[in-house]
Amino acid sequence: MGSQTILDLIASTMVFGSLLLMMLRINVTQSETIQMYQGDLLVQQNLVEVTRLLEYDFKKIGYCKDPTKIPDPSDAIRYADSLKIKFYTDFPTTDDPQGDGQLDSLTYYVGPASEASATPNPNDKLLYRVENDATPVGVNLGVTEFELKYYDTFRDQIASPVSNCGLIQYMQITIQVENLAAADSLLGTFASSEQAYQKAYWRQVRLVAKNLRNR
Amino acid sequence: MGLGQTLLTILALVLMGRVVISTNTTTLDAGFTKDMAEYRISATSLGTSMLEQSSAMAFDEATVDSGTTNASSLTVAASFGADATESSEELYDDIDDYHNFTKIDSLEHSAIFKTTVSVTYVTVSGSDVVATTTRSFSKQVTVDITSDYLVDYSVTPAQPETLRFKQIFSYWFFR
Repeated sequence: MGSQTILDLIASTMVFGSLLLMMLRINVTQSETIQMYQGDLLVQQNLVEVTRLLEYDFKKIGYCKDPTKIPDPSDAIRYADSLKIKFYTDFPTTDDPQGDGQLDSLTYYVGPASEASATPNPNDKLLYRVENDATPVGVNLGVTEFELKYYDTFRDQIASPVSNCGLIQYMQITIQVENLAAADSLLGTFASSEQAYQKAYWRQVRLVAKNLRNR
Repeated sequence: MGLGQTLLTILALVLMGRVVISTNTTTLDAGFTKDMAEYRISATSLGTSMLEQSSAMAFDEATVDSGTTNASSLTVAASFGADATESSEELYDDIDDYHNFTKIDSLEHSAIFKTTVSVTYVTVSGSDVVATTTRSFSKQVTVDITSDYLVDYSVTPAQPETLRFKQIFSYWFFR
């Protein structure tokens, strides 16, 4: 084997090695990117689901198929603070999507972040939706911020917790959802306590329940 | 290395470069799609918020403090917009005050959005709901959300995208 052949072999090995390294690098980057995008998609889907559920339920504050069951709409909200709300509504049934005409109570609140310590994300909290006196069961959709603000008919903010729920005319809901586990590695390197989790943000300004205005 | 081998090596590198560029393009396209979805979610929250905000107002200046059964007492379409005394949004008291209202807003971790509102009377013509200048007991609020970041990349060349939300408010009274 001549020296020229050896040089050819070395050169071709280097070229092959370079190409292989490039392929591997592309593969790793592509996998990370796809993982990040899928994580982001999951976050967005969770946010849309949460807001869809909240909007549906909150729109029906004070609603009852039998209006005589709740003659005074100002009694519709039973408790309200920045993290928790309890109100009267009428759940749809399989027989009647408009409800059974019996008053139900619905409570929304978020628990402390320590409840969801099993997930890598230290900020996520369980979101509770409690129907009547059912046992509270929280779902972890990655909610890291859930804030309710209340306004009276003059559009002035009411201090939380609200002492007179009958004054509430509008609400502002702020929700932030983060990925439960997948950190956004492409955003940079962070300490474990400051990991940049993929997040999506929703702020529903002035959600108005029609039945609250019916007075 | 012979000429043939050199050419083969160059060809391999060109092919490799092509694959890298193609992969990058695909990744960037997916990134744009993801970002657009995020911006659209934010824009939707702003659009529905604006509709909610206007829904909390009285139907017309004439119905702020009392009811009316006569459409001719309603505000004429040409006078839609903030009244002389309503210098800020906080002072708006009826739906058509939002006509030609614009607002620059932003959400955390998102873009800067411009909200533009227009209000018209609507009536039913055949099976369609159409805008009219004739006073009626139905008003349509149209909210347009635009942003420098809301761009439709599915067309060539990419075009600015506007998210439009419409809702019809009718005047009714009970209880």
